[in-house]
Amino acid sequence: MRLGGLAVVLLGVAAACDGFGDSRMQRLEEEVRALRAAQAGAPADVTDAMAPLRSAVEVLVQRGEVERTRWTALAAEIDQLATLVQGVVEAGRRGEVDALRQRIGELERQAAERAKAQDEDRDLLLRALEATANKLEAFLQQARVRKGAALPEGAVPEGGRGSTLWRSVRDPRVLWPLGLAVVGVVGLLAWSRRRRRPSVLPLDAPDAFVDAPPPPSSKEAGLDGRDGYLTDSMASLCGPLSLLVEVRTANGEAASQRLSNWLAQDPRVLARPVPTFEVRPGVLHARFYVAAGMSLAERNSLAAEVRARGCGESHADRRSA
Amino acid sequence: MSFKPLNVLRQNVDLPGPGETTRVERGRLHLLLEHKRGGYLLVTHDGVRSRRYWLGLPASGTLELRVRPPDHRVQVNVQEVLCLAPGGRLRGYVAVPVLHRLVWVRPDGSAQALVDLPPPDLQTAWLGEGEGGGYAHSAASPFFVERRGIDHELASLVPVSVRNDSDVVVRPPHLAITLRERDLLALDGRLLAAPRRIVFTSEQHQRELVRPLPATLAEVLG
Repeated sequence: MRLGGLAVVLLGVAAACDGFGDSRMQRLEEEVRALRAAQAGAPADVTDAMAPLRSAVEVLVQRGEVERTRWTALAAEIDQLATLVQGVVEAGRRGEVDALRQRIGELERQAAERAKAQDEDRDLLLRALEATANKLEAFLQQARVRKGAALPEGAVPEGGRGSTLWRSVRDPRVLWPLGLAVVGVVGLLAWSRRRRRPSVLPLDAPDAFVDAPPPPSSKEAGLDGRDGYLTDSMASLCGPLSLLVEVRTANGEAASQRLSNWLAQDPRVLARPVPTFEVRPGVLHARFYVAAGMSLAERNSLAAEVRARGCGESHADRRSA
Repeated sequence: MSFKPLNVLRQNVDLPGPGETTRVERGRLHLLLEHKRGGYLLVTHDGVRSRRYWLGLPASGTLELRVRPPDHRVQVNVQEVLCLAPGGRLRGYVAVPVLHRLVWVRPDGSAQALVDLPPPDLQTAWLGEGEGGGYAHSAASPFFVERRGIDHELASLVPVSVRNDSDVVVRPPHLAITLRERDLLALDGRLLAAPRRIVFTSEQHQRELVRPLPATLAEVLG
């Protein structure tokens, strides 16, 4: 890659200054020689030298595959969700479900098109890489042959060497492959940069995140009071679950105040609807709400903790007991 | 300019041997995992309260602590008052709390959630049904003007640009931000989110635009 960049610089300088002086060319050649000496440990084969670029492209392609798989799984999950919901919603909301299903179909079609485009991009990239490697390899071999013919091994450097390199670079048989290789590399870099360039997208754009529709009420979804887990996507569609905990206490007012403060600090308890308390002789009824995605085990654990807090026990007290 | 990436989005939690314990600290969040009688006792403390869980884990598989964005949109109550004249714009950062989740990863790579650890400073509310309804989180944050020097290990720093496109002065009561998993980035050992543009067309109506995070070439090359 560095060698290619240097070749580009050489070409540019050569094209700009036709009457280049011998002394400057000699200095330039010495720099090239020093650079080659420094790169003596580098892989001689251009294909090897371009292996990191190839692996990077392959990683990019794999990421695209992963994204595509994820996209397909998401569409399938939403499709399943729509199928589930269609059985329980009222007839008045069937239209929304149908619209959702159409939208899912559209998303799947877009995903298929995107996958096809990704495959084409991958083939294009790999072909460009192969062509670039071949052209660079040919150029280097030709340059080596010319240098070997002009300069026998072990010869003392002379001023004429600069002109040999100069002639080899300006030879159309070298110039064209080199130019094509440079254009290929630059095009590849530009394409990669274009793919990576961030763009501002509105959240409601088709290519970006789509906000979930307004969730139906829990009664409409038929999920009120159901036990067990809900998936995250389903839980965001369902309304909150109310928990009613009966706390046996002699001082209901103090217990309600204590519980109110405690519930306000618990992130599992919804801030709205606000918890309510009903004080009766010898008993306090605390009603609060949690998200529909909370498991039954966690709800039971929370209720037990609320019951203990209402009675004045702390977690440490229960543990020591 | 070189950032040293540290993957705080996903951290492996070593399973302790019998009688041993493993500690994980992430800011105010402390985890203590203890091997007891064939099971694992997990004690968590989020800076406010502690909880205990008993975990039954098979021999093959790994335990991971993962960071995930809040499930719903977050109404960030900025601690300062933002005043935007018509056409005015402000740039800065707000901190949005993120959730932690203990995940069991099986040898075939499939992951399943074990324990959710919600941050204490992220409240959730049900706003009713219809447009603008549903679940929403709320959190408080100062309005930072630069990223350096901010230490929020349990929150993601969100670059925001707030603009007033209306004809009147806008004092937004909150900034509504929706984070997605692919918007989070571990940078320099901290969490950073994709930049936002929040455009106010009136004091009550705001539009959020997000700039997707690119996969950095350094990350691709490993």
